[in-house]
Amino acid sequence: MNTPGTRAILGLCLLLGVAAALQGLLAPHLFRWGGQPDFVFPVVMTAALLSDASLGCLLGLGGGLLTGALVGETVGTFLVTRTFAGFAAGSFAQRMFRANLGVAVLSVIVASVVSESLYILSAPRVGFQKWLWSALIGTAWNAVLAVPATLILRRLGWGWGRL
Amino acid sequence: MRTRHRARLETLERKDRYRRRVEPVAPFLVLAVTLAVGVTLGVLHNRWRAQNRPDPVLAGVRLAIFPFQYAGARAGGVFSTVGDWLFGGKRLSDQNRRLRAEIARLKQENQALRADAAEAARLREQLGFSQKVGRPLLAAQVIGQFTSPLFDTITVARGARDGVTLSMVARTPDGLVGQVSDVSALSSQVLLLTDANSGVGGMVVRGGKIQGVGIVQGGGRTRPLQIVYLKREDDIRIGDLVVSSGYGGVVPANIPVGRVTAVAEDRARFLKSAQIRPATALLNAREVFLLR
Repeated sequence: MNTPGTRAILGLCLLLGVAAALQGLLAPHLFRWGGQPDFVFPVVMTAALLSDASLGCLLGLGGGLLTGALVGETVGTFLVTRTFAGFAAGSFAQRMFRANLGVAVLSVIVASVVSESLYILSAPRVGFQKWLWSALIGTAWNAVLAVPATLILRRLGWGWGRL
Repeated sequence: MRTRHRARLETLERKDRYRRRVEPVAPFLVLAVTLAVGVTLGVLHNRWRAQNRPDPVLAGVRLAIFPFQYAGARAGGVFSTVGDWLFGGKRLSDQNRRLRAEIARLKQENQALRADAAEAARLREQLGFSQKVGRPLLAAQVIGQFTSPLFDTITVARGARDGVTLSMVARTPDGLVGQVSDVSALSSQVLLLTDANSGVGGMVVRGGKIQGVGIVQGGGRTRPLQIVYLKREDDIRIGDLVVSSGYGGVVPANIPVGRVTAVAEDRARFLKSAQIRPATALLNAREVFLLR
């Protein structure tokens, strides 16, 4: 396991706190065509990508808890979908011959697709069309935000040597 | 010496075989355990919610992120104020003019209402009715809003420590905002009126007369707020005021919800519905009041 150091863990916690604050302050102002960025998701998934499948599960669960606390609705669904997404991101990275920023973006997209697909299958209270737009726009945002998240996490020493 | 070496070699081989057997399965075992924890937490959350009790796990997470949210909201407020000082010239003078006109209108309205209140109190006393007392308000700063594109919720910097309980009503001076859906020690979650899962008893009022009674339903950020289940014969017009009916027993009556912007009949022509423009600009609300 690519175990992160104390500095990396503290840095990730700090980054997640900032992402949580931005989610409530900035994200609603970026709402377009039924979707908006999710600042927490790319941070968690990038951290999972820079570790492995096992740690990815735990990070996903933590990310689900954070998102559940921020949104306050469909908490169980967030927990399950984020755990699967963390596992997917971690496994994806393990199977890559050579990883780089492009792979980070690709794996966050894969994790988003996994998470959103499971979400609509398990939360029928949300309309399909509404979910589709939110998922498409959200995945695009996640892909964009994966780049700064990866760079920051690498700088913090997270998964050093993998990317 | 050779025997010891062989024994060590066998131990290493055993360990290697075990590692080869377990290593590919380990992530799946971790996934299974993590999922079990996630599902358990989700089930417990739903159970606590059904019992109208706050979720202690989420409350803990909210407590941890509260300093970030609070600091972010304060920083946002400072940026906004500085922006107003630097670039707000024309906008502020327009706003001042609008507010002066609004004050003049409200003064007139206040005088009329005072006269009505005095008359109502006199009649109440004559009929032996009990005196109505307004519910005390708790001001709460908004520290997060619309965190998901699928749900309309806001987070306010007041929690159980300040006496906030589930289902408390949130409003602004302009009108109804929503109801408290989750409480932690320092912050609370408010489910907005505009959320697709929100429903509040409402009535359409014109000139102090009730024109129709229905349910105000949210549509999220992509569909308008509307009042449904109005009777076909109800005389609803564009510009009519929609207020809370108080029939549900949770939201007090006569809190403004918004104004009618369009009226439509259903396909079977038995019922009517009307679109509403919310009285409160929910996206830019910086402070709400919680009704104790």
